[in-house]
Amino acid sequence: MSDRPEAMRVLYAIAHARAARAAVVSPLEIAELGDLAAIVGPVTDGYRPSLTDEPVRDRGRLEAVVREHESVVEALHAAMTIVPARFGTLVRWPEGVATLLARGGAEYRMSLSRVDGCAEWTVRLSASERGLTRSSSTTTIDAGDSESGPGTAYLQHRHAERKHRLEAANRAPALATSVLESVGPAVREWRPLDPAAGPAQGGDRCVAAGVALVPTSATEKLMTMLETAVINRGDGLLSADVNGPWPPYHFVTVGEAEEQAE
Amino acid sequence: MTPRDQSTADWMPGGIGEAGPRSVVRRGDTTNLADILERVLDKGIVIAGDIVVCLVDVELLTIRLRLLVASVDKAREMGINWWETDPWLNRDAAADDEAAPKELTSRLERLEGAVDRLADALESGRTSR
Repeated sequence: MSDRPEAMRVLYAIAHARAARAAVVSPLEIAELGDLAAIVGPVTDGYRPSLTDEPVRDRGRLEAVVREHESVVEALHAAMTIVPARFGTLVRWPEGVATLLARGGAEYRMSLSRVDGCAEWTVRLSASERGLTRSSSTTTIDAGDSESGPGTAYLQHRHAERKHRLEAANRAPALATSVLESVGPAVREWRPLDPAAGPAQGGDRCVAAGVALVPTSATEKLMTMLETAVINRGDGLLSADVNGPWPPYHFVTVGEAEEQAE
Repeated sequence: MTPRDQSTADWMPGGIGEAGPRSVVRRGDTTNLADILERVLDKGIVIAGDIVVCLVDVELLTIRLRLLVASVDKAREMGINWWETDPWLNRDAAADDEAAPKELTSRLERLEGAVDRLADALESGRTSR
């Protein structure tokens, strides 16, 4: 328990040593082992004991330190292929870094090859409120018996409208699956996410979500294919939210390699 | 240049954010905090909790990070599950905090059901005439 913050480093990513040497500038540092490099930085104030009063309840502080981590990793990812490290990955300097590279070396090489030239994108398909409303309003709804009074006609219309709306909502997940299948050629790998998780998109109900590992050269292709698929297969019900480009956290991370090494 | 510097408006109808009149695809950048947390914390929702407990001792923090990153399930076994009830970190917990709208929704559902039954009754009456 004698380690001081000065003897620790925040780990941001692992990369090919040559690329890291060319791109990394102070205050970041690199530690090399063979053809691999760990990119680290000083333990910043966000981790220090003086901030222990209520750091998590102080969401502004947590947000600042998390954003700082993400901005460093994003900048590294823009410059080279990386295996990103999640926030809070601290290593002893320098011996811990050497151990990390020695134990996970083979795994990191495979990971770097897997995500080379790629970024990840989040795709969420939602049954939009606008689409559901349009669906029921454009469907011919039996207004009821012409002999009925206005109250009866209203109730019957209301009933039919709601029925059509529910049917449209039930169709949405299958339509979303079809849309996602059709963009496969632009995607190197795909990982589904829980549609119920993740940030809400206004009043829309997310019916399918996932992260796509996409070669940078295929980004535009993905967007075009997605838009075409939503129009052609979404039956007017779906809209898509695409978010990125991100470092490939969902496909390779330092933590995962470490867990496997152990 | 960082990814978020890249222009996106050129080739996406509607550009960043709200969809345009013809657009069915909205493209966002990488500045949304929820999306960042989903990635850089991942299981690190637990890590966030660990910061509260362990920042005083960097070594302890490191050990616990490694332990907790290994398995959220293990953390639950250890009785560490505070993040599940934190409305800021957990959508379900947030929903619980919004009990009043939930009640309204439930009441609306009941009313809609009553309207449906009434409409069905009218429909069957009309058919049997």
